[in-house]
Amino acid sequence: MTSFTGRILCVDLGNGTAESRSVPPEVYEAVLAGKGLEAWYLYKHIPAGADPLGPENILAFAAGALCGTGAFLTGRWTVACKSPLTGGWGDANCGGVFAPAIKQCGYDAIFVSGVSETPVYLFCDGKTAEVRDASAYWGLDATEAENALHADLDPVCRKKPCVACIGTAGEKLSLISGVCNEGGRIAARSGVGAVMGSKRLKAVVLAGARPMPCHDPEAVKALSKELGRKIVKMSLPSGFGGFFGLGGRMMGRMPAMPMDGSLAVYMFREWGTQANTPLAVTSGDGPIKNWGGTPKDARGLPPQYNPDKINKLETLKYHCYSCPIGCGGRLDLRGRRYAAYPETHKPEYETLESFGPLLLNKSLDSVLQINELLNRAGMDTISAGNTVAWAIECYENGLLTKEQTDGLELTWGNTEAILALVRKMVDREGFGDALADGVKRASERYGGKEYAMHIGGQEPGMHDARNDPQLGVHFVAEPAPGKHTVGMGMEYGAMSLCDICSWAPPATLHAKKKDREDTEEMALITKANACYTMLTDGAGGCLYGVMMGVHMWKLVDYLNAAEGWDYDGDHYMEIGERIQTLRQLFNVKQGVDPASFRLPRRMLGWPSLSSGPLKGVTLPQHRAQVSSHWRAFGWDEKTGVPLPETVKRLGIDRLTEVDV
Amino acid sequence: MRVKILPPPGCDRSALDARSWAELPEGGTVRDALRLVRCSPVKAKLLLVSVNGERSPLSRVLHDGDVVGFFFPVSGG
Repeated sequence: MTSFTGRILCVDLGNGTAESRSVPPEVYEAVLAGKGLEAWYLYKHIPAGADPLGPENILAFAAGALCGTGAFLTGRWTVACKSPLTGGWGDANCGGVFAPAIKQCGYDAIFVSGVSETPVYLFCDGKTAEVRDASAYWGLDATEAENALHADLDPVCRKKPCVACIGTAGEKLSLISGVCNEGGRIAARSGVGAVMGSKRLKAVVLAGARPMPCHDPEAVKALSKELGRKIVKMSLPSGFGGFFGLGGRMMGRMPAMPMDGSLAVYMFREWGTQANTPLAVTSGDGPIKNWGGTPKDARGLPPQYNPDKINKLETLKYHCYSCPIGCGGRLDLRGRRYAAYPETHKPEYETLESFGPLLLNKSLDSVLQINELLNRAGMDTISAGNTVAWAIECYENGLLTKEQTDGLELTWGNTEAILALVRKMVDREGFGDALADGVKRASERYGGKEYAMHIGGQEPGMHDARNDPQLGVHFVAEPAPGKHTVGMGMEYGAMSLCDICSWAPPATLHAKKKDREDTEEMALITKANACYTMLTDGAGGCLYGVMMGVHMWKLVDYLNAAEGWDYDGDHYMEIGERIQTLRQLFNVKQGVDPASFRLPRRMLGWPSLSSGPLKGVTLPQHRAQVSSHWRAFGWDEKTGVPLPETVKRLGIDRLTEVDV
Repeated sequence: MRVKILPPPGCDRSALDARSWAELPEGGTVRDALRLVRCSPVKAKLLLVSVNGERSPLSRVLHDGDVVGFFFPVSGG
């Protein structure tokens, strides 16, 4: 027995059918589950040239291989499809309890094709799977829809259902919309919500109670017990959060080095990702003023985003499935300024940065409201923040007039105007309509392309390539460009990948500027980053596990115990390589030119910044680094297309002949 | 025995191999590991010295394969 159910659910909304199909074991051996299974299926089944918002596109929901085995930090679920934002591979993932719900219905993944004529939702309880009328829920925001579905279905289901749904942004086909669960937690990137909206699929409701398989649950449990004991004992002195601005200044000046990532769990447990905001502003990691500013422009902002200040609003801490860290929380917003909602999820760093320092917005209260507004609408805060930043810069430079912005004074840090614009984007009203499709479309309509920060159509996550050139390579070499979750220099220093992978270079103590050079070592590092992240996504793992390093979160040991295999790290890294190559082949099949993904000039350091930790930094060898990364993968170094011998070496030619 | 030491900035890494592993005699402690990389006990305590992810006293006896680390904020999210 392995951890895989061996079955997938294939739903066709065109005719309202749902069919269970079996997947041969060799597919799981090759790509695991999660994003790997999705890459294999979507590459095979989405025809070249398919309209991302048409019936031929397939929307996939998948749990990872380790989900339900007892392995810690493996509760992520991944949505994938052809992205309407980039025209190529799209995916987004999220925590919560939806991943095990997929497996408890007896499936590793659900694939939805076709378009329904009327709003529907998919219901599955492990015995039946049916497409039901959702007209009563259409028009509700994600939280309202989830609550309404629970009110209607909880009394008639044997087990409380889990719901993943779109908000109004997905219904209105916003190309920067995502899929939500658990009151607005969102798988946000790649425009996956628009694809769900185009299918008129409001929700997927899962209420199965089947056991989730595992080869050796005792061995998995022993690994989790060891990890859990350490995590539970970790703590930091309180009041630490106020020093992060200072800490960031120190980090900005320090060299790159190998470090113990396991201890970063202190931060995640205490604050979640939001602790990164003051660190990022002062270290050069976080973008300021639409990626063109420096810490001088953001003077006074770090104290506004002190993580201790945010924690004081916390009324409840929560954990994802199988997670002993518990980085999530609910915040009480009653009595706060702009309080249209009484509470919200603790915001992630990405949200705080994209609506705080990126816009020079000093109002934490406004960002908390925007967090809730966008979570409920189901709109990606990273893309939305970058788009608002573009609008402000255009307005400040006279490219947009007050008439065009519906009377909004879009100046840096104008909190009221920022809030009003976000509401317009969510409602697709007036000026907000064009912005609801992201910064690329908005700049094509209004001009100001030089201020539009996107890579291949997708807005970048809130980390600066000038601070971390490895990240710059991943921003453009990643088949879903602009994602910040594939690899970073600091993470590489913390992962100790060289201890499980024979070809992964050891992290070394070196000046950061060395990372701007095109070297064989750097190419292998970025390849190792991408392979391990894909492996993690196939396993359903959390990036916190990745950051902890291989000695703490023992992914290889977990997989061997859960599947009954005896493979080494090199074998598993090849699985990651196969998943990444399949995703790249997906783009090639869909006519997306990998070489067309480019870092915005501003992120390359043209013009360079005049002060701060990134003063004078440029990335002249960036394109050469991308070519070397492709070459390390066995892809053509000029075009990024996987070479025939690589496809054969990874067995992808045989794998794509396997059918279900 | 071999232990992995991930020292903070300013320490001496010359006793470590390329992957940050070092030889220590059997029965060696955290204090011995610190001595190897010239890290002061005060600095080590301030930076929450740990073994395999657990905060540890300097007297803790190390075993083959142990990882000695220090707190360092990681940017991400």
